[in-house]
Amino acid sequence: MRRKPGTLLPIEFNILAAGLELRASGTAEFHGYRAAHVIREQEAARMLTSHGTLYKALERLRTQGMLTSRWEDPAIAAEAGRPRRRLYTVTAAGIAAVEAARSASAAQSATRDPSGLQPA
Amino acid sequence: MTAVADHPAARSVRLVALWVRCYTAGLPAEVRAERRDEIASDLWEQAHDLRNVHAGAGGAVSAEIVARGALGVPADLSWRLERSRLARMPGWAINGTLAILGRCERGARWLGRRGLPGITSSVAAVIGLIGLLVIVTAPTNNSGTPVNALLWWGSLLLLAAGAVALGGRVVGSRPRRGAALVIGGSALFGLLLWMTVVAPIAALALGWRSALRVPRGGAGVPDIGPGGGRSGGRGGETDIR
Repeated sequence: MRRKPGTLLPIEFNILAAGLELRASGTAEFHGYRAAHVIREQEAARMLTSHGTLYKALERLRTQGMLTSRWEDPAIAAEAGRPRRRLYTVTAAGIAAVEAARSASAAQSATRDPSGLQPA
Repeated sequence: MTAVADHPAARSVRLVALWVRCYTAGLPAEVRAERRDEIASDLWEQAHDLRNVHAGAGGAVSAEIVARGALGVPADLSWRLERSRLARMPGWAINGTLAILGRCERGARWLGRRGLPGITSSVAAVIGLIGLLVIVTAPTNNSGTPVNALLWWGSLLLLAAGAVALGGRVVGSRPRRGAALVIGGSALFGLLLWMTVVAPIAALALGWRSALRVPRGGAGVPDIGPGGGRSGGRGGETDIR
């Protein structure tokens, strides 16, 4: 998919925003399923983002340096009785990209509505 | 990895995991293992989360897991295609396929936001539309009858199934439209199954009606003509008015 360099796709923005929301609530690292859960709440969607879409976007963000990842310690996963998780962290580049996307969205809204009034 | 064999959605989890194994086959070992492990973890989390949400409703849990996996198929395929070294495939073919898969992916995301009811309604509508499209475009001979009768009747069946399924889905929110679709689809089924279902039901209905005409006193068997039908003579007809 061709797009302007530095711009985020909606799913990428949603993942980064979910990561930042989790960080604000005290969870610095998140796994894919947790991000899908937060995105569903943000979008008021009925279903979780599909595996294909979610993990493809996570990989893209990691390649672009907006996320870093590490695999959880297998001992912790074994103790909890579940498969090990891949944990992601939003980087400074990711935070900058989200802020840029929010600014662009706000500027676009202001252009559409020159009065600067926000709809109720 | 912890097994989910005892989970009500174990089959769905295995199905999605099998799909992941299929589309990651042939990739470098590290890429393959990372993708499989990551989705195995996700499936485990979802299965255990859903078990708490839909306690006892194994069907709902399974459907949600399978639907989530199915909606990701276009993205999985494009991910795989981007990693494949398909030397024989020209660049324009790869780009074209990726573009189509990208559109499918957007469609899948749109469906995913509407959840299982939205998915079933859309599938029913697509089935009905395919049936309608084939019926409209099916070649006919000079007398107007379809050249390929099997295809035509099959398409009519698709149209009927689509109408009934879609009507059943929307009847709660749009009663008139839903009922019209169910009745229309059922009428088509009736037309399709005329010889096998409608005729015996009609015969039973006629037989029941004849039985009702037997005098209450049970004077005997109603006067049946030689052909098995009701006798044309007045003497054989006993009305219970």
